[in-house]
Amino acid sequence: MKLIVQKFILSSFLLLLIPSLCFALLPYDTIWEVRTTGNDNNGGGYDNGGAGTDYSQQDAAQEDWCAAGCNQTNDLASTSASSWLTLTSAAGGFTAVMVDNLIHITAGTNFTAGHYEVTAYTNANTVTLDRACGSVGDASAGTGYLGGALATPQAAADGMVERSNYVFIKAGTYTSAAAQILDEKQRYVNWIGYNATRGDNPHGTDRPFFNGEGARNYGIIADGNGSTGGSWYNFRIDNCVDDCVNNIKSGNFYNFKVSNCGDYGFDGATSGNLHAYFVEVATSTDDALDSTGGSGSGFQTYWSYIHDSSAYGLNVNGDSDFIYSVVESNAGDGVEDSFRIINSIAYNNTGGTSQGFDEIGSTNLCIGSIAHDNGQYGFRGETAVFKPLFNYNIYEGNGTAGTNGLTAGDNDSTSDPLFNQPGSGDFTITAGSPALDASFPYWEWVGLTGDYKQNIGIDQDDLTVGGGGGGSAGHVVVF
Amino acid sequence: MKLRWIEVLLILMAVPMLCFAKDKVKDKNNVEWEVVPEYYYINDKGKVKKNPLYKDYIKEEWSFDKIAKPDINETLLLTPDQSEEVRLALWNTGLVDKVNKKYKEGRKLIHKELKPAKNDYKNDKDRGTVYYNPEIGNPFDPTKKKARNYSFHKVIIPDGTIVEEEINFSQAEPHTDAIIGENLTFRRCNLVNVEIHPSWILDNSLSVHRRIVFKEVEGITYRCSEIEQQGVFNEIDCAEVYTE
Repeated sequence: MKLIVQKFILSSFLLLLIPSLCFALLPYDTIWEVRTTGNDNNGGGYDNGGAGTDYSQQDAAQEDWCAAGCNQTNDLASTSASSWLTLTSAAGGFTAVMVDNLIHITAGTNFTAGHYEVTAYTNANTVTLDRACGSVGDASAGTGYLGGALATPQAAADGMVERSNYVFIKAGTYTSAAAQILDEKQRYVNWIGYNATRGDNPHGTDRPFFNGEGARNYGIIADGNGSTGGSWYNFRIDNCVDDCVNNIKSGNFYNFKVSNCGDYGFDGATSGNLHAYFVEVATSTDDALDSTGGSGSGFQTYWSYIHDSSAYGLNVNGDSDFIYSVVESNAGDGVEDSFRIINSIAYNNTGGTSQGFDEIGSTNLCIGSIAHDNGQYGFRGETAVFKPLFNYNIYEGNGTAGTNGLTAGDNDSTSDPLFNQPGSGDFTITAGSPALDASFPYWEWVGLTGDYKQNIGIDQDDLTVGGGGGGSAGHVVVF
Repeated sequence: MKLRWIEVLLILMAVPMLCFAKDKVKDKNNVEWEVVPEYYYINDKGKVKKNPLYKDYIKEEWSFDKIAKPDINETLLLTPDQSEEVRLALWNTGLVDKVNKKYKEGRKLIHKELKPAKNDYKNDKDRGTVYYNPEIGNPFDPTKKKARNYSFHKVIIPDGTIVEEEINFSQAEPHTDAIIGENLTFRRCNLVNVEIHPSWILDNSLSVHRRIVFKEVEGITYRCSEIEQQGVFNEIDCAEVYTE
């Protein structure tokens, strides 16, 4: 009796498993490969952790079926009887190690064009796909390409059928004939730039480059197809007519540079928190980072460098941070309305009503930061009614005064921060700087013992004895 | 070398004086102003108030005086001395005339590293004529130019100059004659709304003409970006304006 029950449970489990196998989509962890030397006809991807051989990390398709110029003729076929899950080729060409690669079926009678994963190998003439490749009648005369990298990021976006995929994009220049270089089509996608090998996290011009050519409206529409945007690592965007990154919905940007944007550098959508880590925004025509479209839209900015825009550096409405970052030489406020400003610098943001840090609210946190040589005030509060946690800051050399609408912190300094040579390329602090070891002594509050002293501003070099210079360790990251 | 006691005393007396030395400037009426903005701030009603940190420094209320534009013809190129005078008027901190007990409100109206060529500053969107500054040594990247933002300025650039590495020349209004110079080459620069001279070479530089218009539809205000294409401004992006 026990054996019968066990068999019943096992068979029930297998019956439940069959439909899930038949209708599995390209998995969440499909990894796509894009490189300028690829081809948008290619399969372009591989199932992460697959048991086959990853043919996506090569320029050309491993096997192809087309009318002319391919290894095989365009004889791909699939029947309604197999629910269009079995793909065949009379000419053959399939191998066992092709399992887990994507095949891009681009054309054919009754085929639904798209990228499909090979989930099982039967023989050289037959494989199984992750989902139906047709919907009406038997499919025949199909053209397809298995393996090989794609040539454009948009081809990867268009090929996805599920969220949370990974796309590796190799260094090179990418553009488009469309209004944007890339329009996200799925949520939570990880877009990862690399130089020579995956994971090498390139800097400077070694990062993949999206060139708007002065003709594309946007570099990226980062809204995850109207839902939640992706995470972006190691890219550059330049020369877009409007926003370099448009309509961001809860996106994450790491090691990312945008420049020469016709409107905003990064434009947040009406909701969602945006995160910028190690981001440089240069020379945008309007705000460098803008997220003013809705009450809930904030911009968390960490270790970033925002400069030379024609308007604000950071302009937000919602919950926002500006931490260990520099905002300089913008033709408007450095930072407008950030909830938390910690160990940052606003420098040389010019204009009759330009503040280093503006609209510091009654419950905002603003500590350990420097406002130096800004247009009107260094720090301006939006209300003087409540005292914000405003302390351990330096304000000096600002047009009208260091502060306005704020009660000065007991541990603030109005002395020159004594940067080494700000006019000739060294913004670290000197030995006599009032910034040295003068930031918020949090360690005393939380029970830590030892030397946890921090400087005000971003330069955290301890200064060598008698050195008189901040040293290179304290420099802001140059992207 | 041995110092006499009186010399040691003099040196010791000089130290605090050096520590608290402030820049001093003279205006056209030869009035000496001390650059000490931190002693005062301007409240929301435009009144000069004492900074509580320095409440013991000044005992009386002083008068408030806006920045005075130098009395120099706006159309003429400035001499070096005049340029410095204009620069001082446009990029200064608050000033205190201790003799006449006046406070002059300071402003940093233009980029720190720009040198005025004319006395024609008008406002934040029309910041006057300056010279192109090719000097290297940016505070945050020593390999880059000191000045990379010429937004809303007219700029005099020597003929034949190659301008490269992300310089912002954006203007507020389309077709602004913002750059004076011929046979210039711009590489990866922002030239939005700058009228392009036929002798210039643009290498991967942004040179569109755009305007921002605000539209109200069914009670909702939208900020719309319009780009000029074949002489017509076409809307390319509209976003609702959030009001708190």
